[in-house]
Amino acid sequence: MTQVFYRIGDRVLHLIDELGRMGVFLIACLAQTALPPYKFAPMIKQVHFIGSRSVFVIVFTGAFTGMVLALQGYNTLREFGSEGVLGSMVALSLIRELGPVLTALMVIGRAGSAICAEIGIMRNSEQIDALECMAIDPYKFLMAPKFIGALVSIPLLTFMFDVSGIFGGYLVGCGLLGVNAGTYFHSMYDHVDWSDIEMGVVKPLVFALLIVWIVTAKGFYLHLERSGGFGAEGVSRTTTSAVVLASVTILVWDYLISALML
Amino acid sequence: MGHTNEHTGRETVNDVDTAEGSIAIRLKDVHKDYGTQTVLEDVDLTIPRGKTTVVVGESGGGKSTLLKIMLGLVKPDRGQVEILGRDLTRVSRRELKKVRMNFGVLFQNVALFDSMTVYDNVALPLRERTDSDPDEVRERVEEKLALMDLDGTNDKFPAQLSGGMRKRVGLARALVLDPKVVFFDEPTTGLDAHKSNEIYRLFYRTQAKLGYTAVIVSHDVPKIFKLSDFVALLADGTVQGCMSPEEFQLAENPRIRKFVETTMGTIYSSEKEEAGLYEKV
Repeated sequence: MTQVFYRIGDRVLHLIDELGRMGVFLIACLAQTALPPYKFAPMIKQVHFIGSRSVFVIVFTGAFTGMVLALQGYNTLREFGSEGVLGSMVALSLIRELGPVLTALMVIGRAGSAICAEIGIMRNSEQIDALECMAIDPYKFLMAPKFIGALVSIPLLTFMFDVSGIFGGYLVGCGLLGVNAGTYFHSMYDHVDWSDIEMGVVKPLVFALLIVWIVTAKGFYLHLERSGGFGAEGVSRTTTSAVVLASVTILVWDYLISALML
Repeated sequence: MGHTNEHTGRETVNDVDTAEGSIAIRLKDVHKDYGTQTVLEDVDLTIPRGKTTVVVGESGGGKSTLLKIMLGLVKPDRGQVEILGRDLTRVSRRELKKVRMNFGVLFQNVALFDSMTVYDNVALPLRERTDSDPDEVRERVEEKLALMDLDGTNDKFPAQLSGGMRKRVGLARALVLDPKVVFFDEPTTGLDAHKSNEIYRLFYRTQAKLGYTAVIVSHDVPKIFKLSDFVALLADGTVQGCMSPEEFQLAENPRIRKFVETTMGTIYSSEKEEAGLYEKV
C-alpha cells in the first residue's frame, strides 16, 4: 500500500518538476525572442523550414478537407432544402475549427517532430553543452529563430489551408453537385463575420506558440526524461511523446479558445 | 574590459576580473548526489594557472561530473567552485556567461555542429561573442586552422572528416578566442595511437604558444602523464591526491598505488627501482 502512495507521489512530483521546468523554459525563450540583437538569417531559415516546406501538404490537405466537407454537407443540407448555405458551412467550419486545428496537427507531424529530434540529438551529442560553454545562449541561438519561424508560418499556413479548403468545397459543391457558384460565395459573404476571422487568427497564433514550446522543450530536456532520453531510442521516444503531447494540447486549447471566444 | 594575452599579444574578449595569483581553479568541499547515489564527496582540488592538470580515475568514478561542475553545466549540492576568482555556485547566469568567455572546451564527442562547415564551426564563437568584422574572423579562423594543420578543410562538413580531424577542428574552435582555461574531456578517445600522438603534439604546440591552463580528463594512462604537470586521482568520490606524475607513480596512498598498479604496473615497478637507485646515489 505504501508503495502505491510512493509511486503516485513520485509521479506527481515529477509532473510538477516538469511543468516548472517547461514554464521557465518558455519564459527564457520568449525573453530571448523579444530581446535584441535580432539575427534575421536563422529566422528566415526557420520560416522556410516550418512554413515554405509545408505549403504543399497544407494546400493538399486543405483542398481535400474542403471537398469532403462539401460532399458531406451537401447531402445533409439537401434534406432540409438548405443547399444554398453550403458555402458558409464550408467556410465557417474551416475558418473557425478545421483550418487552425488540422494545420497545427500537420505542422506538428511534419516540422514539430523534426525540431524535437534535432534539438534532442544536439542535446545527446553535447552540442547544447558546447554552446553554453562557449557562452552562447542556446535560447537565443537555437530557440528564438524557431519561435519566430512558427509564429510567422503557422498563421500563414492556416490562411492557405482555409483558402484551399474553400476552393476544394467550391470544386465539389459547384462543379460536381450543381450548387450555384454565386450562391456558394454569397452565403459565405452573408454568414462569415469578423468574430469568425478573429477566431481564425487567434487560434493559429496560440497553437504556434504551444507547438514550438512543447517540441523544443521536450528536445532540450531530453536528458531529464524519466524513461531515459539517451541514444537513438531515447530521441525516438521523446519525439513521439512530444508529438502526442502537442497534438492533445492543441485539441484541448481549441476547445478552451472556442469556449472563450464564442 | 579586455585583456591582452601575454603570449599572443592579442586582446581577448574576456571581461572577468581574474584573480591575481597562481590559482586558476579551486574546488572546495564539492559534493554531488544523483538520487541516492553519491558521485562526489567533499572534493578538494586546486589547479594552478598555466599548467596542465590531468584528472584520472576509473570509469563511472565521477570524472565527467567533476568536469561538468567546473564548466558550470552541473550545480554541486554543496561546496565552492572557484574559477578565475569567481565562485560558480554563487554567480548569476549573466556572470557565469562572462566567466565562460575565458573557457575553451574539447568535448569527448567533439560536439561540432553537423550542419555547419569546418569554417563556420570555428568561426561561431567569434561571430556570436565578439564584434569582429568578417575579415578579422577569417584571419583568426584561418590562423587556428593552420595551427591545427587543417588548411584546405574550410568548406568540408564534420561528417566528411576523420575522427582525428574532427578532434583538431574541435580544438581549433576551443582555442579560437585564446581562452585562459581549456578543458579536455577524453581528448583521444576513439583514436588510434598515431592520431592520439597527433593530438598530443598539437596540445603541446598550442599550450606553448597560448599559455593556457589545461584541465584534462583522461583514461589514456600512462601516456597522458607525459603531458601533465600534475595528476589528480578521483576515486571513491573524492580526489585522492594531486601531485606531479613522478610523485604520483611513487605515492604511498593505497588508492593511488592500486590505480598505478592496475593501470601501469610494470612502469610503477621500474620507477620504484629507479627511485631506489637514486636514493643510493
